[in-house]
Amino acid sequence: MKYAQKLVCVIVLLLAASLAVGGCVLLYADAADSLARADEQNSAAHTLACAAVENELRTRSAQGETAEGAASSDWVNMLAAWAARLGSTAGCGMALAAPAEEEPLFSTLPPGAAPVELFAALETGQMLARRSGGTVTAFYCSTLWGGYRLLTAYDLTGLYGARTRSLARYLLLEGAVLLVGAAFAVFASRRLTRPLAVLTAASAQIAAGEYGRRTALATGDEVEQLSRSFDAMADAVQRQVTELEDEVRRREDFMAAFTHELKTPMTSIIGYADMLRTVQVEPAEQREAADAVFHEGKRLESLSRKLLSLLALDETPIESGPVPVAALMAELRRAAAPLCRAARVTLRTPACGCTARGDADLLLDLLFNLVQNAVRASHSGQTVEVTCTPRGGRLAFCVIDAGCGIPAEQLPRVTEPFYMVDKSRARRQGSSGLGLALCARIAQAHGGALTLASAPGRGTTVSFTLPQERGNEP
Amino acid sequence: MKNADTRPARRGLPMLAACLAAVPLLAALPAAFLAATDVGRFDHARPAAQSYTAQAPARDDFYLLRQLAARAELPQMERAVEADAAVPGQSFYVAASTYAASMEQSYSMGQYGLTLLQNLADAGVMPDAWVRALDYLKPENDPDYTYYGNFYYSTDSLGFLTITAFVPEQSDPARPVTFTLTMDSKTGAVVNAWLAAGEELPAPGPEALPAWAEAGGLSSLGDWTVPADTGYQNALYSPAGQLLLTAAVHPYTDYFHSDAGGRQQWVLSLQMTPAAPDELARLTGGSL
Repeated sequence: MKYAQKLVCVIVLLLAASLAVGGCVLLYADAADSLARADEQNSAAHTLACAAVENELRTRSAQGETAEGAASSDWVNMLAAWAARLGSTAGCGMALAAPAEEEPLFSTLPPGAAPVELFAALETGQMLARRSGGTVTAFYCSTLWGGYRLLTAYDLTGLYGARTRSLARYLLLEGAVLLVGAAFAVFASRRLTRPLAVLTAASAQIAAGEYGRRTALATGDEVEQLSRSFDAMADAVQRQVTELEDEVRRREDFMAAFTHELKTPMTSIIGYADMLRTVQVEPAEQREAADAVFHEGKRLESLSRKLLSLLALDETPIESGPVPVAALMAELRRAAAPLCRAARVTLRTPACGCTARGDADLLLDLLFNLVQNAVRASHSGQTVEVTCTPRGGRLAFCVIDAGCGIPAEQLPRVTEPFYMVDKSRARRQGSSGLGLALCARIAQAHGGALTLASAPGRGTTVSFTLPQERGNEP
Repeated sequence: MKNADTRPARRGLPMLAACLAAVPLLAALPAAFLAATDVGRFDHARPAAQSYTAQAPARDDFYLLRQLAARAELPQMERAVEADAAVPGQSFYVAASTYAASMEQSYSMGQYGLTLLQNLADAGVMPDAWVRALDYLKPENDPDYTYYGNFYYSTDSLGFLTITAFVPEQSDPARPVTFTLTMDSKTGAVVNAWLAAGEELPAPGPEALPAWAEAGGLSSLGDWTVPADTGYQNALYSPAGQLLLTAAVHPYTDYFHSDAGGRQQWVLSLQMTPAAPDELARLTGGSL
């Protein structure tokens, strides 16, 4: 059973129950009031009839006319005729019983009334209503002067007929109200449950993969809040799914690149090794092959070292400590000197007396990799400059070259592992494609981020910040 | 998915059917409720909104009592002597004559008197033996009409009829009666009876006077009580009707019919006497 149907049932049942109880109370109270009024009127009429009959009995008794004696039939007939006239005037029938007699002296009660039974059933001051066929009659009984008993009858058929007509009208009204109420209940329940249907459909669509589906219900009540929560949940789900997809894609790209980066030097190494193993070559060619094997082996060694560094950064926290920038720059110049000399590029480092806070080895790796990339991108005779500027409690480092630069559309991806702007040149220069990825990870581990600004043909500036050690400001 | 969608709907079918069935039942509840209240309303006696309180019977409601009171209260006047001396316009009462000479002789009236006595006996007002003692006066026991000339009657000014049977052997106008009774000529109620017998006969029992009140149409007074410490053997009094009923049997000696020493006789006396409550003690020597 649908929720809307349940709502309709509950509303209609409540309406029917309310109308039923209300109808019972209303009709019963109305009928009771009418009957009470009729009882009062009939009682008053009965009292008047009693007084009249009693007065007649007393008068006749005082005149010596009684039910006893030889003239009793005449007396009864005269009294009956008088009572009939009184009854027709008062709108009632009556029966009179002599003291201790069961059979009435006379009866002008309606046909079907049993005076003997009624006299036996009623005590003085009591009344009784009786339905006979289509008529309803109220009988009143009182004991009169001298022990006579008078029974009067009043027609209540009209009263009950009015009540029946009231009941019929109420039933018609009740039916109409129930029909209208049911129609309204159907309309209202559908309107109330429509947001639920929207939410149900949206959840089904999202479950089917349509993560962009939203409800955006504007009902102005709790359902709207539920809709907002539902949409927020859908947003979170969609975001997480997208992130998962990106992560999966990155892993797939990483695996593909890693495989490729492994395969390329291995192919060269295997090829040169096979040539040395199977072909008698000239010493010059032999040297060239050995150099190639050595060069590719160094690339593999560099690749594995940087991968280990990346894994180590992911798994273990860094060991932070004070790192004097001057000492760091000295180490950088010493490490980069062969590289710069080979490329005929000048390296300029700052004379900064500041002290950074971080892992000295990792920071040296970070700066060396950046300088190495800058040197590789620079042309002969150009200068690679490293700057260090205190800024807001941190030290901002920049590695600036005036080399070939990076196209703008590739800038966001250069920190991805194995991403190379110019793969052939990078491999030729012994690049593993992990340098900038490692740099970005080291900067992130020190609470900073790697920022690249580049213009093709005009050079690249890579910057990052490090925490500055307190108390060592210049 | 289709099964999952239809299963709850199928599960809800009984509930829907119950709802559809309950709605017309609830709708018909007022009619059923009124029918149920009618069952409790019809053919069950219950107090009326007003109850009528009947008037208590009083002396003036009864013709016989009014007549008896009038007879007792109006100034007494001898028919022959004082009639001429009556004040014009003043009410007065002319009593019935008790002397044979001033009464009308009527055999049929005598037989009527015997019938009235028999009716009293049949109603239990007096023992039947007292009426049987008078059987010799009835025509079937007197084919020769020996007592034809011994029955007399007279009336008073209020319509009371007195019937008397005198002892037949005597010719003296003052001869004693065998029975005498007085009745109201309109209602036929006997208000006095006096019967003589030559032997002791049973006295009326305690049921005799209520039976007499009923025979006289006075039982509806409803307040008949036996007065205490009365000198009567049997008495009944109604304060509302202000009427005393008495019944007594006592002996007496008839010296008139006896040659020497008198003759023992017994007499039954039934009396209806108007009496206000304050007069009761004087009449009966007792009180209520």
